[in-house]
Amino acid sequence: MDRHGKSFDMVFKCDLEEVSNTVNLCIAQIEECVGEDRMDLGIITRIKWVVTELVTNAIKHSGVGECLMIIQSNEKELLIEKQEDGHPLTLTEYAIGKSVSWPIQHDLFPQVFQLYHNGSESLWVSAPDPSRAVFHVKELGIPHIPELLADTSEHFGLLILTKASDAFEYRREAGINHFRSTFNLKND
Amino acid sequence: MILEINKLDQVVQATILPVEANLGNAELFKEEMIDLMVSGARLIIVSFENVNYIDSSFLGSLVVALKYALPRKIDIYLVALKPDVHNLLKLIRMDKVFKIYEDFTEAMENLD
Repeated sequence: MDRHGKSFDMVFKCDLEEVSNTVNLCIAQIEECVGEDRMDLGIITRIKWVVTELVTNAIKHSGVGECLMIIQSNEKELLIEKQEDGHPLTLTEYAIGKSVSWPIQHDLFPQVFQLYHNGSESLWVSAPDPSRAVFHVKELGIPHIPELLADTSEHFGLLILTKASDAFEYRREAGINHFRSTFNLKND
Repeated sequence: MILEINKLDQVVQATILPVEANLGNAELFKEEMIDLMVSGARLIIVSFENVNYIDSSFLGSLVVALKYALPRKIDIYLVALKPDVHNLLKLIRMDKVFKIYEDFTEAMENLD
């Protein structure tokens, strides 16, 4: 999205004690930026989950002290992007247990692989080029306990980000990590 | 302590005390849950009555606790989930993994 709509930027500390304040501040700014009439309670809840997971992800994995949160909106959509210059995204390919870091060193694109699955669904990532990762979920059917539990990962951050957003992707550009969540807005 | 405990024989009612169940207390929650199981609990009913928000780290600890419990024939029920918490569990399909009840009373009426 070009910056033709409303936007604001916010620097936040990667500090566990600050998660609530950061999330509440973001939600307040988003409601002001977008307008509460264009967001139902469901989307506000999903945005809260996403902002919390973006902040938590930064604390757990980035290795930096501060991040930048950029919020942009226009008539159709809301974008929430977290940027930081910490460790690049590194994921483990489910099938072979191999780690993949961005930018991906490979000759052929797109690359598509499974990250993990939770019994009834699986999280996949596609890399259309060396610097991007686009996340999506596939339905697998519904096994039952105990098979379902045995097959369930205890890592939910990316799954929540992917399922709570209408689109979720990552890119690594010039040493900066960009985690971007997109929400479709109500149109009058 | 993150859990307030009420023991009824081998059934433990465990109420999460913080209003936010997150990365900051996920590890402690997991340790206290495993301690309860090591101490002989056969069923732990975890109440979320105080919890306004849960994140992926705490959900991960819940799943680790259940993975520890089931091979030992121990069960974990969840009760008193507020709508945002319950909806997040539904989003990632954990409502299919855990037995969820309205409150302690309903959970006690449904003992296996």
